[in-house]
Amino acid sequence: MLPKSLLSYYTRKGTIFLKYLDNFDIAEEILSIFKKCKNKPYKEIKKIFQLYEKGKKDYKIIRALTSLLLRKSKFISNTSLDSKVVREKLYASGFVIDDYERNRILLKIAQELNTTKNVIEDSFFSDLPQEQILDNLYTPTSENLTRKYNFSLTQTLFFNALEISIIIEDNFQQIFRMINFLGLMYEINDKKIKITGPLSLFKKTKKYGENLAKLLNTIIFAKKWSIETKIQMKKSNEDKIFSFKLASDDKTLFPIIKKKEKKFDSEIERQFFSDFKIFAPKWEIKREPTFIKAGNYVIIPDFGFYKDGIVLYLEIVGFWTPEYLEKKIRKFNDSKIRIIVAVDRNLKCSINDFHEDVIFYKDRIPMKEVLQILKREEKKAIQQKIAEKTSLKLHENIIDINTKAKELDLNPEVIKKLLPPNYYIIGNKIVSSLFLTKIKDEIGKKRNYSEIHEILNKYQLTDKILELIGFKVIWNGLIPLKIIPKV
Amino acid sequence: MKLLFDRGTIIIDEDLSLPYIKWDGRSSKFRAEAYYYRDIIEYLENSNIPFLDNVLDLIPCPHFSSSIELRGYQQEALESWWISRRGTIVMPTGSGKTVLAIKIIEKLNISTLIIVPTLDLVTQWKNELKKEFNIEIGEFTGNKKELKAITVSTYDSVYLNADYFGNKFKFIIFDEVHHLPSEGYKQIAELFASPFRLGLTATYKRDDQLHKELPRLIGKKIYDITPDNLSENHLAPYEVKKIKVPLTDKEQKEYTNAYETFKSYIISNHIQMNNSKDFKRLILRSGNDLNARIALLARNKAEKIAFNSQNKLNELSKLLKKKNRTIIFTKYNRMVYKISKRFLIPCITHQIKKGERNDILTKFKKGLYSTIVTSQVLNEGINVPEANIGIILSGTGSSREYIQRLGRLLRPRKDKKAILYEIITQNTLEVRIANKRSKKEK
Repeated sequence: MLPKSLLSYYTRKGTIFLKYLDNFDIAEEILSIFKKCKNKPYKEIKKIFQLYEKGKKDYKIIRALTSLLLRKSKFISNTSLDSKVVREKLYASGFVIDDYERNRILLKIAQELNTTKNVIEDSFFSDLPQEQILDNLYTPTSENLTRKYNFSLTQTLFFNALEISIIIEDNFQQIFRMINFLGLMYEINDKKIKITGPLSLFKKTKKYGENLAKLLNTIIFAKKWSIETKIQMKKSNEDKIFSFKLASDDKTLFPIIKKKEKKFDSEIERQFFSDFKIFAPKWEIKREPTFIKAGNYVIIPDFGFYKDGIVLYLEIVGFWTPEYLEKKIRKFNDSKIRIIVAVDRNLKCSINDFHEDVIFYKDRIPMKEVLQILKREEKKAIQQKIAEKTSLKLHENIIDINTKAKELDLNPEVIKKLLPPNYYIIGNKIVSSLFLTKIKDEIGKKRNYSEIHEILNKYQLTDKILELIGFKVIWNGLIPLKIIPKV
Repeated sequence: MKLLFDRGTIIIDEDLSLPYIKWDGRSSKFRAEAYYYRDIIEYLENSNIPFLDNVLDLIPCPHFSSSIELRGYQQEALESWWISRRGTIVMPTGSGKTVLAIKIIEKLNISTLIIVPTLDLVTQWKNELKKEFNIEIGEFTGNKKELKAITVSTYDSVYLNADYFGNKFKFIIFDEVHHLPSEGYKQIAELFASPFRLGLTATYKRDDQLHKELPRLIGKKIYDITPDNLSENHLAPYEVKKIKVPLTDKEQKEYTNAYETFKSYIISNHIQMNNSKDFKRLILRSGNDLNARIALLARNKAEKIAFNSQNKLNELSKLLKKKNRTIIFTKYNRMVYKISKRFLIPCITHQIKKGERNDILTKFKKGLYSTIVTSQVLNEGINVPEANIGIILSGTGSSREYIQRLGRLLRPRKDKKAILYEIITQNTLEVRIANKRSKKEK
């Protein structure tokens, strides 16, 4: 956070832009001045920087960087006397008008405190912040200071935010937890989370700006994120609403937060994760992969399973209080997406409580039942796709079936079923009739099998193609010798 | 139908097309701003709609009583407030606003939150309340967070926490209520459900006209008594004397230089300088325009020279008399410290810690100190010990309001009249550039 007056920005057509630093030069310069300030009083340090910023256009940035440094540094009083005591003693005999009288009192007090007149002068206000001297310097690297500045600048702007909308690709648990913790509210529209507060319903209010600013940390923790905000600021003394956008793709220099792989919430989860990788190697598994709207709440499933466009979620219900369970069940039943629920056998739940697939577990989630559901869903998906897709358009002359399946997010089985006329499956390849003609041309008058084999190998095709283009292989025992046209 | 409090709003679980409510898709409930609580309840009662009211979650309240006897005009004020139990009472400083408020609290005998602008006022209210009621008084500030049946807090603290205790008090008092209508603070009034509301101030009007919001937020101005209407026994009369001092030659030269820099920028850029809005615009401009910034800095320098003129201190020393009880006011802390150090006069600024500050005020009250110097406008209800001389050190003159505010702190001493001196700098050019130019154009 920076003082409001140090917010460096400009506006253009209703959009607000922050003046981010994209190199470390200014920070470097300021740090080098700052490092020479040890033992100097605060007010002198301020003067040094006032001199430095004189005539510079980006004085706001300079002040912001120094304020970040000063805030974390330690200042101490430069005398051993207690200023408060010194003052009290000096005040005691009433005010003085002439210098002679003043001198006399100062000398008297100096004697009393066993020190000199100069020390008394120095101690008069040495407890005031501006008189204290810089003792312990906060000296981050110029890079860290720059990153910190950019972050603080953004937070400072957010204090004027009316609402923010974010799209993030992970870290959901933490975001929703923070939103609730900060007393904010959210609306979900597809992948976009719009964050406001209770009063936002009635009026545009900056009341939640501070708490929205506190979210920034959590948002940029996600691997990929984007933010859109509405900012209320004065322009020509009138309140105006500006938009402000920011995304991880902008590559703004923000503090680097070390992203530790999130620990599993429980041993059950850890065990399940490793079991799944062994028993369902063709499926991809992700932890806390998304959030799902469920009535007025969200569910962040523990796991997501992905294959050929099929997405399934699994939520493990091991924790229990009756209210928690009731809320959770309501959430599941409100959500429009199907979730497999694994319920601890010890909980007082029955299969009828849920609309979902329910697996009961004790100590370890039974893999067999999970696999059965996956298989069933896979089959269903294939049938559904076949029913949905009446035709399949291909433009390649030869392509690997698995590659194509991935590209279209379909199961290879679906592709086989929907293969357009004039296309053929040969081993793992799909080939067009045009391609068949091409091969036929390439073979031409060649009849020796080893020559033919070379051609087929080039395209990773099997002998099966020969039959399609009207040839037959002649064998000598177990060794193919040559080909002849089929009669 | 059930009514609930939720973070500064009221949640209603049924749609009866009530006034003030709105559908909230985020929580699938109806919602209203908390300050309509009293109106909603009235509406429901008048319409014979049965409802369960779970909005207020009041802090349990013991019975309390005081021995306060109100003066005539205070009684009048109380009675006019009592009719609707809402609204603002305007009374001059020193006419016993606190006493009146305490009497109203006693009469209501319900959980009450008192909101004041400063920590000093928190302490002062707490002491007064404790003295009268002899019960523990709660404090909700940066230092302490305890809610009691009667709690005193600051605008800042309440603003930050209104979401969470907007339903804990039935009665809410806004002391120095002219602070309330600012953009942030006004939300306090909106986020609280408290049906009974009282505003207190000596200066109802705001330059920015925002006081017009007050009737909506807490109720109308229901009682207004000016210093003139109060008998002389209650408020002290005082005399204002202006003393002009010239700049020293060296100061004059520097001043002219700096001021010319500023002036030439204004003229060459055709900037109008008629009021504070124009000035704010210039400040904004200085963010991007280097010359504007240089001009602004020059102007500040000129102002500082005028303000800190050496001759002012000489003039000040002439006015200091030990037999008087004198308070010296000046806006800038630097000047306060300078005076304190040069004349060995006890000083009070916001940087001087509470303990020392109270110690100085006590000694001043007892007569151990004859003179104090301060940068804090001790106007906002702080019980400033009696003084018969006030000295304002200002730049080129203070606003009438400011002078009045300080003047009200003075009391005559024995038979001597109270005097408020204002020392200002002579011959400085608080020029109205715009006027000059328009003359030229003619």
